[in-house]
Amino acid sequence: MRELEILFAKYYRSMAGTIYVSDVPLREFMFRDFEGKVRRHISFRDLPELRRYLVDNPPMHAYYSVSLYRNPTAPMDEKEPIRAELLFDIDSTDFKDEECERESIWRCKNCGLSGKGIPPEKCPKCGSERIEVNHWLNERCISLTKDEVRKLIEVLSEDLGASLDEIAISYTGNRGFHVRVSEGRLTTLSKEGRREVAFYVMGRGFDPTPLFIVERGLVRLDLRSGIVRRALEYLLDSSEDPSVKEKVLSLSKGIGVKLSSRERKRLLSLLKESAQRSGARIDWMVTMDTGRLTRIPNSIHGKTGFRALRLSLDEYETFNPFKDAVGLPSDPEIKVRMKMPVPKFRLKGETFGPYPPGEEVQLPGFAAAFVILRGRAEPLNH
Amino acid sequence: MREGEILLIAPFSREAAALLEEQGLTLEDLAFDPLLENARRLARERLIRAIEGGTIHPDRTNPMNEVYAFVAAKLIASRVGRSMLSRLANYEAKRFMELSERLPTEKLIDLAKGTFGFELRLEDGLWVDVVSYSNGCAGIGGPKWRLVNRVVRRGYVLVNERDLRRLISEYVKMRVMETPRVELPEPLEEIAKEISDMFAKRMRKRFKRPKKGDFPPCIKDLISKLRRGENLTHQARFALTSFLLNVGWSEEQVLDLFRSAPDFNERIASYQISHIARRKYKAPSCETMKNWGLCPGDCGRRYMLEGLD
Repeated sequence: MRELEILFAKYYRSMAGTIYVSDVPLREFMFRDFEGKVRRHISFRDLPELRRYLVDNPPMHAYYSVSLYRNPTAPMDEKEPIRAELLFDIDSTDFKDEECERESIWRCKNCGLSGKGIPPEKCPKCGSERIEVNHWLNERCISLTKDEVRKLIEVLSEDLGASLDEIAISYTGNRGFHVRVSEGRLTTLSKEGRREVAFYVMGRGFDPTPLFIVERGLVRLDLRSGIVRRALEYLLDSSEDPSVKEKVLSLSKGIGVKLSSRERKRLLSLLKESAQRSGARIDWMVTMDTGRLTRIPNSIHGKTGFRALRLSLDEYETFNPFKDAVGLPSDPEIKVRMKMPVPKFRLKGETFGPYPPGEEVQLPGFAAAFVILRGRAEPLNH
Repeated sequence: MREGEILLIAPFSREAAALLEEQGLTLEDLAFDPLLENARRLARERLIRAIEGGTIHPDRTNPMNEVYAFVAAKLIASRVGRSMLSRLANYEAKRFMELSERLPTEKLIDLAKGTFGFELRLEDGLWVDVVSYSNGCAGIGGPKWRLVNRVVRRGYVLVNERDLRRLISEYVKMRVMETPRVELPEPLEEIAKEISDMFAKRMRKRFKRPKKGDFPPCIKDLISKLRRGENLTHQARFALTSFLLNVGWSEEQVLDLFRSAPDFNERIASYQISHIARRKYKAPSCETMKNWGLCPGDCGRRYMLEGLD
């Protein structure tokens, strides 16, 4: 791993100035080095000290706490939290999308059977659930997660009242995005309060019964609810049944409709489903976890070599990690041997691969780092 | 509304706290001042009610006595222990719910804003800021209370007056639970001892400590919450009961476990438990537990009973 360390060190030497974390003295930091050693409960006096640390001890992974603490270096139950960023994690790994997983390789740890694509829940041969997956990432993974970011930001600002300048987006450096509300009242949500908010943005547990309004035998929906409006919109776009479409159209205009009890039941279940589909797919456990450590924006992700880039609301739409997030230098070049098939990939406008297992090839630093860190190749020591 | 009525209904309010501060009331005053004898008596009564349940008769002749009694009861309950404090928290919440029915809307709004920091809006209905709502509703069970089933707009949640009272009562609970545990002067310590004995007697029948086995973390969580004397939502009670009955606990054992619930009512609890037993309800699926917000994280099980005989 010596070669990789040189690349990471070079990055932090030239780019440490782009690392930014607010309220540095009140945060806990954690680093994992290239031997896998973890250092937790670290704190810094100020931003320059954090940056110096990164230059002097370039880590493979660098994390900071979403919470601000009175005693950031104390053990967990003595830290005394003050408030915590409201964090949303959007990761394409959770979506099980065929195109995104096309080059992912899974292997049954029990019988050794392996395959490509969406990993099965159970091994098709021996039935074991011990499946290990080597995920790949491609443009599809990124565009999928961008859709979720868009939905999330709409809900955060329209419904939950976060102002746009309190919302920060960052690329995770791997297969998704982090969206966080870093200032304002939402950062004072309790753990349980965060669950309510997480389920809200997901549309999870939605039951529109309290939002039905019945007047003179006609049923209306309370259109003041953002979830109701988005679910109706989704239903209008996706439903193929003309009778459903007609009723939904009336409902979305606030017009009352006559519904038999069967129709009402059907509409209820369609709305429940549509609320989840039009909601943002986030990992709610991450949102709930105020003790969470999360990647430092603009640090290097140790599983890709990409920058966990901080993005503005305009930037994320056109953002392409394979061009914009490649942070490691090309020099020194590294000779690697493939351990697994590596599909064709493009980084910084240059095309690499495909490479079969066993192939040895000399690559620019950032490309070598990418295949090594993805676990598909190993460096050859000269 | 009569002068001082707010102190009667909300002895936890900012107004009450300001008066206490103005008077410079000390723990010693609370314990020894002969003029506060009545307040000490009321505090003791409050604690007994919290243990045994029952209706509430505030002292109308001197509203300030309610405030003293509230403070003394909190300190004594905290001295007795977390479970007792939780009982009292529940009692105070319920008491507020009952007495606040006659509070005019503006007073209610003042209370929410001034005492608990709610932000409220009054245009086209009554709106509570999303943070106050979410932090408060988390302790209330049922789909109606979930944020996802509410009208939420620009950081505010639409509620009605009863909802607002219920939310405030949740904050009352949280506030009482924050009471520090301190050494008490003799007269108050004596009440603490008496209450502690009474509480222990009431709880004696619980905890035969049936085998725990390797229960999933969600169930362990619920059990330890109960043991700490915390309140569980309706769904949490259902999940726990159906699970325990399914792993072979007797109805009586489950009932004993629930004895430490701050709002424990033997008649209601035993009816609910035997209802679940009669209907042979299965323990909820992991999916349902997640939806109910009762899943503390991925434990690797596909269903709750996995790995249990």
